[in-house]
Amino acid sequence: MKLTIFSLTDIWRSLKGLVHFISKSCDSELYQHEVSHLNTLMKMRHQVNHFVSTHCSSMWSHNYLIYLGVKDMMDFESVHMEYLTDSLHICFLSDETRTVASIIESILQFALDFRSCLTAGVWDVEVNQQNLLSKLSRINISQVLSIKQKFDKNLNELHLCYLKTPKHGEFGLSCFWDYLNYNKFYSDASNEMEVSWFLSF
Amino acid sequence: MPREIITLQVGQCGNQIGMEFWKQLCLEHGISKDGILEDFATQGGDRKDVFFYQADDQHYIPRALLIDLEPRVINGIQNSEYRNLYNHENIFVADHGGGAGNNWASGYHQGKGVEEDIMDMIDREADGSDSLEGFVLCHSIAGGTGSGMGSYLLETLNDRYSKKLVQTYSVFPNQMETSDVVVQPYNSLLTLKRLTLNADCVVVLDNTALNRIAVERLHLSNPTFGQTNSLVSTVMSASTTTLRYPGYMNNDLVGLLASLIPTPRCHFLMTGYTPLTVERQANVIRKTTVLDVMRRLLQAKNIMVSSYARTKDASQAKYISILNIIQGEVDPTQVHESLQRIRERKLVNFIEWGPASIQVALSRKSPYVQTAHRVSGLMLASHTSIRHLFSKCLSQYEKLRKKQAFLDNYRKFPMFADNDLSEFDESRDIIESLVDEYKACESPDYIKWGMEDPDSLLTGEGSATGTLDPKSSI
Repeated sequence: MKLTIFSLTDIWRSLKGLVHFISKSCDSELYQHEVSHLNTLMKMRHQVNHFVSTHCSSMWSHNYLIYLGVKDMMDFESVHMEYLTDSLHICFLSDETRTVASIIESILQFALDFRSCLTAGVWDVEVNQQNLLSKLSRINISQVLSIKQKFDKNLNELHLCYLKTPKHGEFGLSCFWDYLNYNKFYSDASNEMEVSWFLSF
Repeated sequence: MPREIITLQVGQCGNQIGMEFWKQLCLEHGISKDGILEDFATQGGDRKDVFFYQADDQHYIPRALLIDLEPRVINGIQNSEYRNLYNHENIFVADHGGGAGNNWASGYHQGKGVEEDIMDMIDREADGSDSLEGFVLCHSIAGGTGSGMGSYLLETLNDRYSKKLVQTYSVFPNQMETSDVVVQPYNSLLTLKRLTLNADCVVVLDNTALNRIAVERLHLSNPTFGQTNSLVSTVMSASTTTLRYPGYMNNDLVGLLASLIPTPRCHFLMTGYTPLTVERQANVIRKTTVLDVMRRLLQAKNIMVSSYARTKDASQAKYISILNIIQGEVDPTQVHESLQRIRERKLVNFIEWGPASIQVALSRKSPYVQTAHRVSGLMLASHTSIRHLFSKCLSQYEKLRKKQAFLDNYRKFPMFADNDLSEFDESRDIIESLVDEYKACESPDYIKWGMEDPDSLLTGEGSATGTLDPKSSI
């Protein structure tokens, strides 16, 4: 999880540098081309980041909160047992939630793959500042789009799992999906078209 | 390993709010006015080393630079009870002591002249850090030193420390009262350009809103600078809580900013804090639950930016991101319930072009500061209505510029010599583009912003024509 968060913040840092670069670029044709790529990358990072931070937040806020009421060692033992039981659902560790766990694992891996699409040359933004085209051409956009497709596919699968689960309880998939889809972004049918839109560039 | 942050306080306002910030941090970490750790403050669990380092005798010293072109405020600090807190090598006051005369060009030009001295101080502080995360600049955008010299420092930091983060706490002028700084719109516009291009995150502290909150919410008929500065220090210290009291998330600045700022250009944040008190009103106690706090944080009257108005246009405004930092006695189940309730009641209007939610960080509270309220909360949010604040700056600039008023004061300096006023035009274009981008954020098609827009669907606010000039877009 730490590696995933590191990858996403690292991507953010690099994209920030590239935006700064492009803003200084005076070539308007280049600008049009690069902005479309950058927008794709920024949105992709945002979606993956939202997923990861929502997952992390729902998992660790529970971890943090459950121990607040502990009074003594006896109490600690019972609270800890309660924690382990809840964790089966929250961290999707039980047999019934194995599919969900596998989807989440895949998405965490996508974050790492996403970072690897932005090759080392892109990070060193101060090197060879004039050669913007070369810098951006090193980004493997087709690989990013392929990750994006897989990400969307996994989210669809997660949504199907959510539809099959009971809609109550403070924790578990129902709660996780509610946080993930807080602004109903994933319920909006028009967003399903995103992948094809990206591919048109 | 600490992720150290170096604070630069520039100009009168920057040093005043900076001083209040350090007072609050000392209180929260149990550090005395001389930098000595109090006997009662041995509990640990906090991270003092992000903002302080320790001298050989173990007393704590702020990682701060105090910079001004006139001596009054810094002399005040050096004669106060906190005179031994700062590293005296980190204080810079111009030899002439004449200030910048509320002139951005003078502040910028003088900044260039003393660049070497100031960068030496910054380099020394940076070299003394194990893993420097970035810089925080405290300043105002309307005067001469904080705006002009602050702008020069932002550009220089960007060049010299391009991989470090730069966050600012920028005080915007009160637009409800006539300012004695007549060239405020010029100074603000020129500074806004640097805040747009050279900062990674700008926390907007709007004096118009701070005064409104002091008058309407705290019932202070004539709020003093001291009282509004105490609101600012509350916001500044609360916004750094997750860095100083590590929890499960947002433990470093980059993590905090990466989730609040999905697209790097829209990096201006507004804040809200509840429950607010000033010293003499500490006895006005409210019932505070997580839901109370989270609901209040979304109310326009608690937002510290004046653009968040109840106008027709403002109803189109959307949240790009929200982070609520909640401190105190938190009932675990209430966080989930509160989020559900806020969604059911449609109290928050989010962007449509990407996923968004209210992120909640439950943070520890200092054990050394007693507060009367059980729960308190700070909201850091990126909201598209902030564009109205920039539009206001633009319209005030246009009014003054149309009259060609007071430009002679600027022409005296190299940047504007030979009647070259292109810097103003360029700054205006950049701010117009910023306004356009925030407006575009309100559209589901924001993802296409910056590309050809033949129907002008995504713009129309900042620029006169509603079309995009790719070269001027940021």
